[in-house]
Amino acid sequence: MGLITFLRWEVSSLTRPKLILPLAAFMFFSSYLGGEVHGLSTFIGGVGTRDLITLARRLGRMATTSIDGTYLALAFFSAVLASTSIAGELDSGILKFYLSQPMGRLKVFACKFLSVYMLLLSFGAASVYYRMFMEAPEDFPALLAASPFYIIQPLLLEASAILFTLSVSTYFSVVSRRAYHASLYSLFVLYSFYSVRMVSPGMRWFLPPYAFSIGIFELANLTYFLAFSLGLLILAIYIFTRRLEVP
Amino acid sequence: MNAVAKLGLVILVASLSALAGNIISDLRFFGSYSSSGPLASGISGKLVFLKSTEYSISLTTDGTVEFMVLRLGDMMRPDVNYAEMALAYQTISGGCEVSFRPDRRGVYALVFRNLSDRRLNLGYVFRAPTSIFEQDYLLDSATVASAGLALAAAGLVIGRRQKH
Repeated sequence: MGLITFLRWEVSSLTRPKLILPLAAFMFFSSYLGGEVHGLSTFIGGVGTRDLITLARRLGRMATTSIDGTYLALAFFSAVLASTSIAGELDSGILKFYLSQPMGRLKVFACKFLSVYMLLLSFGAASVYYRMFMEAPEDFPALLAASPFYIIQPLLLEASAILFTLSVSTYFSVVSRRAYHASLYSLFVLYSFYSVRMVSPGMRWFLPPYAFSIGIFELANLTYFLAFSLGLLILAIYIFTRRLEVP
Repeated sequence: MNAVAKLGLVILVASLSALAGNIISDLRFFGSYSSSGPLASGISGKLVFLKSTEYSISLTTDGTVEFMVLRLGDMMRPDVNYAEMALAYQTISGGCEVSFRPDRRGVYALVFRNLSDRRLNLGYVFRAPTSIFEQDYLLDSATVASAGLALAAAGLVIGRRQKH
């Protein structure tokens, strides 16, 4: 079985209506639970490119706060998809069949991780950009042309947030023998970051999902959680390729 | 189910979910902004994202000021008579309240034109309703959902024909 064939197989198993329709519903609904575009910006003489950049920055800021809204949906679907894809297949014996094919463990892991990551990223990005576009449908092209950076920034932060939730879920999927254990542990850890705001509101700026939704303003926090995600992912790769015993 | 039908269903579900999210988020829409300060001679103003609902602005000045509400696109056009293109237009001496309702959501310019050569004082309170229902958003969502439904139907028909 070739790498592309295996990737296609994974993608087609993930794009079943019973998975993608709830994913679409949760992501698009929860993208509205972040912030609104607030405030008035001043212009003098006439409206120029500088004013459009200010508007694009405000629209981009609103979109990045959408990541805060979608965080719980991301956490839930990362936990479910990663545990189904790895721990679930280990539990049911399908993983044994995959690993018996002439393909390295690293490639199997990469296909599984990438297929879930691309699915979550495409739905996450679509929900955030749909909201941005619908905020000002006729003015969106002018704002995009004036400042592509502020319009593309939410995509980069969404990609970082998904890397974080999915690396945590993947790690627990690799170390757990049962799919529901992996889901529960992942959800508990990801929700713990979210629930800190209820105990200590000031702490939320330093933890996910705020660390991603204000990313560009708090680059140190964003870098820390990106490094944490990559570290956890490397650990998961190591366990999957070297340590995992497939019964 | 083939890819076209899946895409259609995803678009349908996504647009309806976004509509539900928009209705919920509109319940916490902002209340008001106020400001006061000097107004230099000529044109100046504020840019703001508005929705298709009733807004009002109370203005006070110690001179004569023209107030207009314009779409961003109209504001950017060269050689345009702003007064003709304005969604709302009022010449203010002393103070007054102006109400307006944009047809569609988007970026609007609240334009103040100081007609005198001297610096004036201008104060304003800009109010939005605390909860709104956006009719234009509902229509746009219905259009997207219809496109999704049509795509899903086409996909299912194509799928059945391929089976036979």
